[in-house]
Amino acid sequence: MNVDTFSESSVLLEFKEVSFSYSSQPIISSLSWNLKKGEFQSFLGRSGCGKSTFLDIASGLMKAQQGIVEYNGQPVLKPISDIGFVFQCPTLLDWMNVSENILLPKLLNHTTSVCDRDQVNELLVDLGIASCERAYPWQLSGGQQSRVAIARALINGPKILMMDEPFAALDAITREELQELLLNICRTHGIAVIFVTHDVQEAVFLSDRVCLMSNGQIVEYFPINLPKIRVSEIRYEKQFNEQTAKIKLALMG
Amino acid sequence: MSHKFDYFISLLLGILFLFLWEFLTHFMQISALVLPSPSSIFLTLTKGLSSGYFLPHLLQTLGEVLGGLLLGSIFGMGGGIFLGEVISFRKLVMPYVVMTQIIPKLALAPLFIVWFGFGSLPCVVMTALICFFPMLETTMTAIDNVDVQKIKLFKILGASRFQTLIKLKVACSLPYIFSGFRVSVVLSLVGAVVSEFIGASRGLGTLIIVGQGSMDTPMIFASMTLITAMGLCIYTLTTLLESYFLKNYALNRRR
Repeated sequence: MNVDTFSESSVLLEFKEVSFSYSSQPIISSLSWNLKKGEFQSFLGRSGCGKSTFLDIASGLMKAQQGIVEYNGQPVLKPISDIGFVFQCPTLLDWMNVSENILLPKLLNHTTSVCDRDQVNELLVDLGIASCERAYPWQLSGGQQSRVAIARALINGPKILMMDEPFAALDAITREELQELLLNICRTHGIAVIFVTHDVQEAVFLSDRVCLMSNGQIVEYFPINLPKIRVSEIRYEKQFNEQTAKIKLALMG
Repeated sequence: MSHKFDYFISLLLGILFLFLWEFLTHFMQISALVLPSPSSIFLTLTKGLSSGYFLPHLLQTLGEVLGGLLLGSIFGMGGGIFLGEVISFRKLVMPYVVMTQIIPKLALAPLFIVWFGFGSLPCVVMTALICFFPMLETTMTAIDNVDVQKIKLFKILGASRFQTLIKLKVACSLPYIFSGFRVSVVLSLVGAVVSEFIGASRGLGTLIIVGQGSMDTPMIFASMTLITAMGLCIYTLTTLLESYFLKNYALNRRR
């Protein structure tokens, strides 16, 4: 296993020798890893390699059976309040309109205020769904629903965004649009991202580094040496394709 | 436009059926004791309604239906929410709940008369018992089958168990709870009328028994018509209520 060499100074989330198993079947094995402020990390690996369990432990939904998970230097004992989570399905609530769905985290914490409405409007504009404010989820396209799910994850101003294959069900064009949008928002607000995906190109395009998972361990780290500002055209460049090919080869083992 | 056309055709079919029935009873000279013609049933019905003869019976049955439906639905929904949420308790009590439902309700009627006396109370209890199970079963199944990802979302958002239950599980289950309620509405009429057969002195079920005793078949049909009309009214009211409460739900809009 490669040793993670990132500097300790701005570490936001850290795994120290974390293990987790389901009925004596190891899912995560002695995993050490960290995420720095504003960093975008993608996780690649075959189905069943432990990516989703990793996200559950990282978010505080599940407790590590061995080892320590730390957020800002403090052990994680319950779901972290500073995170936004985006699932593969948008998981929007049918009976709430777009604005209400975005405000759900605040509604549940009884912390809604007048300026939340402005914040929702801002997010609606940022994500290009301003015209859908009063629409219900079933009136939206898949891409629009994904945008609403991202807006809901951003409403509390998270420090980390955790995304579990959020664009897997979308068409190629919409997916590329959303990838660029996500990058812009995260760069602007300095949000760190843990992004689980099966798509190598997506991982390379979005990430500062890609973690390759297998049998509950991160078997290889790939720093992505592409310009910070990424535009669609970068996908056709030699450097991008070389990085993609390298990771694909490693993935195929 | 096509909806209106469908309703028109449906109405036409009903009228055609009544005409055919009327024609056959006259043409085949069927005795009114066996099968009265629609016109004679209509005559009995209008006479009974205008003289006020049907009114106390109608109100009695309506009261039993609504009372039983309300009681059965509240306990069924409450029980369904509780058993859907507390799975360990469900495993303990569910076999007994099923057992109480397998017992034929009609067999319980004499017991209810002993326990609750004659009058409307045993009928209300019987109706409530019949309405209870569909509500319990649909609510429990719906609560238990809420999307796991949504439950995970609520956990991440720091929602309490009560918030998750009310704002997610019950809210998600509403369309299914309403479908259980619609089944209960239909069954509530059966419950009320059948229990009146056994131990009531008033009600549309009692009128059917009286009609049978006095060989007044048009009276039996007139009572059945009133029961059907009452059932249709309650069912329509339920669907209106459902449309109101579920107006923002995808399932309701796609219909």
